[in-house]
Amino acid sequence: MGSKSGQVSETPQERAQAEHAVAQMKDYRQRWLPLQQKLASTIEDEGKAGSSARALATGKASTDTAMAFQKSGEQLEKGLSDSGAAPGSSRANLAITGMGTDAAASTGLGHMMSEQSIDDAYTQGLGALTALGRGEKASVGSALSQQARQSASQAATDAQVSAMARQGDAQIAGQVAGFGIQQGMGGFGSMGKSGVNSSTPMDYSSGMYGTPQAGV
Amino acid sequence: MISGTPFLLADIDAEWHRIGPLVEGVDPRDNAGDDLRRCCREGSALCLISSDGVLVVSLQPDRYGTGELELFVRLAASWGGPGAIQRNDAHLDAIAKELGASRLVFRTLRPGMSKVLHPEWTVRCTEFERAVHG
Repeated sequence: MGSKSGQVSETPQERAQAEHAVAQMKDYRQRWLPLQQKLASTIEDEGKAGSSARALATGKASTDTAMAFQKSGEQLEKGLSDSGAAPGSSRANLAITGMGTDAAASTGLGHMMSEQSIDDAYTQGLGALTALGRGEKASVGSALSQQARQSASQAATDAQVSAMARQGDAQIAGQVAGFGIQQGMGGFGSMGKSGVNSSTPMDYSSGMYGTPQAGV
Repeated sequence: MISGTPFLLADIDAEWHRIGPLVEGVDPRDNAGDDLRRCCREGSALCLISSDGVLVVSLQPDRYGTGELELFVRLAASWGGPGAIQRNDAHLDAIAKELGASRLVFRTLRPGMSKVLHPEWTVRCTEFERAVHG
């Protein structure tokens, strides 16, 4: 209409503006695409077997377990000592060995939970990449911090439960041993409160440690 | 992700299996999708996807010759539930702002769009049509 070719040609100013618009989009893509790709590769790397994120998580789980069992171990030793089980005695050794087994089990569980948490974070990260919802990037981080909390809390609980159980077992072992000695010395007739287990401050008749169900 | 929104830069060809059906619903013209894909490949349009749907946007000089840029929304379609416009309005603002645009513009073939838009949206041109006589 307005030109010989039948098309209205752009003015130099319009052309410059159009070029500016394209340059802006190019700049936008160049700024964001690397960040997006970095997020993708970070998530991919963290998801791989033996990744640093996995090593960090399992290492933390081991440390959490070691720290929690160390503390509970000291409490157990004190508890055993208070109840009359001398350090190095078979009762004390039984309890401490049992606690070591529990610590190993707890470490294994902690590692398994860590692996699962990293898998969860990886899945969530992939979800973010395929844009499965706003805020997914935040949930990747929160899954990892959740793992850290879970690991520490699980280790502490395991250690506490183990210490209580082992102390109880040791006391039952003491009672059984005491019972055997008592039997050897005088039979059922002489069995009394003081004869059952002198090292146990608990009253046998209360049933607190006396019944097998309560201690096992 | 990009511009603090849930949108990601996407390769329109790689995502076409998801985007194609949406384009057909928005613009039934045969070449509508081809044009979008060509512009994205050439770099004159950006394809952005989120869990909610897809945006294909271009920057263009404003029609008044002021030298300002406007973000022309070539395609905005959702594979989520109703209310996608309201959910993504602020995201569109964030993307437009970072791209340096001062206005948002779109065209639609769908009647009744004004009912779902915020009142600050205005119609800036009207297309007339009639049947050819005779």
